Amino acid sequence: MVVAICSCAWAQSGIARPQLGKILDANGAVRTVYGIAASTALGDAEITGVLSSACGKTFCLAKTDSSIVSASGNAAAPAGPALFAFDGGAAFVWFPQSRQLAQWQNGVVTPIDSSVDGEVLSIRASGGAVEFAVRRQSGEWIVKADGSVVAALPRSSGPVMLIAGGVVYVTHGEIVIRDLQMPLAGVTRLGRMSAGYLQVRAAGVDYAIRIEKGRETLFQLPGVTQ
Amino acid sequence: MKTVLLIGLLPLAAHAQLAIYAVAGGTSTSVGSSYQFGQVAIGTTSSVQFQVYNTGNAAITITSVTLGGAGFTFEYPVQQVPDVLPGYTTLTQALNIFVSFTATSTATFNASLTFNSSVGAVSTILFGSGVTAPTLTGGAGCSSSTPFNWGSVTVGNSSSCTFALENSNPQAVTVASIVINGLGFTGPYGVTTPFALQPGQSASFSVNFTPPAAIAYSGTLVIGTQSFALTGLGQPALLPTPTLQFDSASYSSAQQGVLTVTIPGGSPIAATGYVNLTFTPTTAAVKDDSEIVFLTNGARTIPFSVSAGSSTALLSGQKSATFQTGTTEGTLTFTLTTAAALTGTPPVKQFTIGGTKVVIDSTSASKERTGYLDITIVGADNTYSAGAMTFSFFDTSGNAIGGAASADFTSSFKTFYGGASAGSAFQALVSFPVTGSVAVIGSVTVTLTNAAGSASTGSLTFQ
Repeated sequence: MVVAICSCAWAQSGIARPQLGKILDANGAVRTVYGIAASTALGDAEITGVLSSACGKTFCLAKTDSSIVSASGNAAAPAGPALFAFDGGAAFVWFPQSRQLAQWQNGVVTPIDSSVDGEVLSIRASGGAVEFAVRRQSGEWIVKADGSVVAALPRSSGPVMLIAGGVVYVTHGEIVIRDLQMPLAGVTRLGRMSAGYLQVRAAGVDYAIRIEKGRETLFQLPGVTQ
Repeated sequence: MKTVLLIGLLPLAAHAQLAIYAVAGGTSTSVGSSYQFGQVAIGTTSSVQFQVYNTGNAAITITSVTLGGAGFTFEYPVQQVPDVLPGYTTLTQALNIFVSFTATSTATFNASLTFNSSVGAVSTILFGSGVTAPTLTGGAGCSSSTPFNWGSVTVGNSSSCTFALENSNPQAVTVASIVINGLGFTGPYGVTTPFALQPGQSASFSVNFTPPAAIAYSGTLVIGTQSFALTGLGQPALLPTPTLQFDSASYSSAQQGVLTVTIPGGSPIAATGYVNLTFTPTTAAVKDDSEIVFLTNGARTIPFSVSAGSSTALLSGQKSATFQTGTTEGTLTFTLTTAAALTGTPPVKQFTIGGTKVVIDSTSASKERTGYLDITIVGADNTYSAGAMTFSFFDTSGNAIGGAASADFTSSFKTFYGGASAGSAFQALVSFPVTGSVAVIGSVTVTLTNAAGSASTGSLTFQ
């Protein structure tokens, strides 16, 4: 079989300012993080009044008090914050206040039945199946939507984030990703900046952690005036 | 007979109605038949305020006041004589007379001070003696002779000067008082007046100078009737020159550094100011790199504060400040500015960010789009000279597909960077049209070249 690669047609190349993802700043505004690891700049506030936000490979979602905001518009949603899991062109959303699971697709929010006990810390999805990280008196577990246990999680003292093929969690004074421990005290929030980065808020300061296996790194993000 | 007797007693009765008081230091003391001015240094003058008032029921007219004798004079002309003093005159309504005694030699002087009135005269004898004044010498802490100068003293600090007062006279001298006047000067310490200095004897005492502000001060040291000038200068409290400390001796692009500011020996004062970060690019391609900032506020300047006694400054309220080195070759310069006076020159620290090969941050290769091979490279070129790339394709078995393809995107990069100041980070998407099946295309290696050399992506597997 013959394949021809046209080496004279790279006029179709394009150069742009790279983006690491989007963060939810301390003022409740979603901002784009430009640059490369350890050398970043924040863009202007794009959406305000945001309680939760997350980005997957191809799109981002933000949760205001009463709706889910996407590039395609707003969709009504239960009150309060939300947890997101991206699965191709769709996303699963967990509403902690109402303990409701839903699927977001093309701007439409569809409730899904689930049976999950305990405090839901994070969700992830793959191939239409959702997994939950839950904190119970018996410990922390990864469970399916029907409540069945998939795996046990290490005891953590703070936020937990399920990522593809692993978990990021916080112990006293450290963030643990896979077998790496990164010193950072006072972590209060983990957010999904993009498929490759998590936002970490610790002691009021925002950091980014690169979660690509073998390239894990933690660095501080520029602050914004509150 | 009774009338005659009454008339004869009237002067005595009226005489008893006039009382003379000497006023010194805010207190009045009754003056009898004599009053002692005491020892007065030759060439100096001692002044005393006398008051006469009426203790009887009837008004008395003071017709004149006289002073007869050597060495004593009225300090001011006697005013309002004749003056009528009503019965039970209060002190504020008394007749005030100021008498000065100036010693001209080592002798005893006297004079009669007489108040003549409508009911007779009342008088007292004033005594004073001239003595050679004891010698005053300034010791440690100030100049040795008048004006005694403390020089510059830090505001709020106290500097003590020790004085020696020596009697070189053949006779004893009584030091009646030592008084310090003037803002910033306090004392005397280590001595209690009055005291006698025997011939050849000396006494020491100290005076403190504590300037409350950064200005010049003057005061007086009054020993008996002698007055000596005191001077001193309040100097702003100095902040020991802060030290800028970094977590690394050198930095390169796309790094984050940590700055702390320490005060050697601790700060004697509270101070505030700013730490400033400036950047000068090496390349003429850009004028700045806006990603070079302190991360706490995303700015080039952060406030610092140091409290008295502390040896570490707070930077935006934190013990340290993290900064980004950006993605442009050049020089980072850290300076510190403060309104506080420093003991030395303000600190300056520079770091040279050298030019490096293209930093490759992330890559991907995709053949998902029909008819194209898409290669994405995210990186940074801190020399702003990238553009030349070489692509080597391999089949799924690792065999090269044709020769390496070279391309020059210099123009595209220049357009991208032109006029920008957001650093050199870039995301380049290079798309190769392909014909035929792409199933056999396995990977590609891209080499990017800039002024500092060539960097390779390594093997990128097409997804």
